[in-house]
Amino acid sequence: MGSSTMKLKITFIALAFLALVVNTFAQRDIPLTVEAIELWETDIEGARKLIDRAVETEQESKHPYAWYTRGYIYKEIFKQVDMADKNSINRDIAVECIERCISLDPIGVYAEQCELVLEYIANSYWQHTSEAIELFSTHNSREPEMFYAGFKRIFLLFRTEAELRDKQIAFYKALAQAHANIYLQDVYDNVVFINQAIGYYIKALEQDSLDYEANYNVATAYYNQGVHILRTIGPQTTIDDLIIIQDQCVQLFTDALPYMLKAHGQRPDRQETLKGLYIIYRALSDDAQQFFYKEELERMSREGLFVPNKMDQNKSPDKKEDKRED
Amino acid sequence: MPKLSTICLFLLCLSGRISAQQQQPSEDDTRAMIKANFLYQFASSNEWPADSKKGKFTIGIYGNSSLYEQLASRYGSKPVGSQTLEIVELKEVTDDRVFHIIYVDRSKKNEMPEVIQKIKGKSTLIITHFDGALALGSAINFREVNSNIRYELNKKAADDRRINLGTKILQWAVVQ
Repeated sequence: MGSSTMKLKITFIALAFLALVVNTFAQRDIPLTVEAIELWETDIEGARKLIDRAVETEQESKHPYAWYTRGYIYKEIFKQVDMADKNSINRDIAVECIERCISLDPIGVYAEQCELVLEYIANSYWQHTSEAIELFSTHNSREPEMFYAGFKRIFLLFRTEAELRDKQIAFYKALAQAHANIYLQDVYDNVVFINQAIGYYIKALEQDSLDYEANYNVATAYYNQGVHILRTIGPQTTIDDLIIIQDQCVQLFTDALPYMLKAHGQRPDRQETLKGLYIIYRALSDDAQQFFYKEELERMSREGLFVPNKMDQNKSPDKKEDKRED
Repeated sequence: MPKLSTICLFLLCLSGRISAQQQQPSEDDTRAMIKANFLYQFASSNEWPADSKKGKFTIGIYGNSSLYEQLASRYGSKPVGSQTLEIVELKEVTDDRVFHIIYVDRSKKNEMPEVIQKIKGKSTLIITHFDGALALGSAINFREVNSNIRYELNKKAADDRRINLGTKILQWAVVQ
């Protein structure tokens, strides 16, 4: 234990010394870069001009620290001058510089600093992705994916695919939800959006097939789509149309079932999955299963066995009292 | 030049602002929606005798509130030929009122002989949804076929009440 602590201390001192030596040499080899560094806090535009000149010189363009500095200054311009504008070109320049630094720095002397800049920029892309999803409409439907692609590319410069997974799932689920919301604005004209929503949920499930929320929401999306189709039937519907519509809806209810079963398997203590299964089996005219889940629902409710769902904040506006059993 | 501590101040952690909400499955009774439309099809596609074409076209629903609600809200007051549709939820079937159609739910299966007795001699089309209903005098009985709602016919029961089943109704009936 004492020996390993000592080794760590020695390694740390050696690395600190190496950094000092590199910096000392750096200051001699990269005068314009050093000048830009001294200037950036008081005159960022002046620092930008200097660092642009620095990386055009043969000597400094080969030095990773010059590129790191340029990346850092452009990141600051993106942040302070452009106010993190989503369309800022300076963010892209910053990333290019950091990538150049990494390529010129095989032993990773500047890896830690580069990572911090990349992390800031990745975060800015994530925030822009989030905003694009919040403001999602038919007019900006490509924006979330565009910004997410930027986030993903930069994130993977300093993190692994495995570390990206949770973000990727969150992104797909949120984008699915955004599409589902557009669909709900007009369930007849915007059908394409619910199919896209299902597609994004399925992408989330490809990352984690046991994601409760994605399974539940795919099931609900399929099921509700069937219900919305059934709501179109009325006095004008012919019996021929009714038969076709029923086939279509039964297919959607059938598609919903495995996802609801999976969600229920994940969280058997959730009321909404039992209710979902009861409703789906009822729609599929499976009386045995319908009554089984209805009884389970009643029993667990009576015995207070359900775990409250924190996500349950978006009740369907068209929810109705269920009057009877068929 | 930026130091690590300075940079750290600028850093924002990758926050979880992106989040999804949970939808709820609609609680509409889909089977009632489909059966309500079938009942409207039966009302508008079959032919009742001339003496039944006066006043309102009445459908009584016995034992299924959900179906009654669907039918009343979507089809109530709609035209059936020259008549206007009236939907009534029945607490019991009596012989003091004539209906063009009475739907008897499976929950009222045991009362079927009494219902048949009450409509004796009347042009009332009995529609049901339980096994063996045709043998008890029902003219149209709903059945589940591959998760779909379809129906089977007892044409004689309709003929006996002077109700002429329409071509489309005959065409889509499943074989018993």
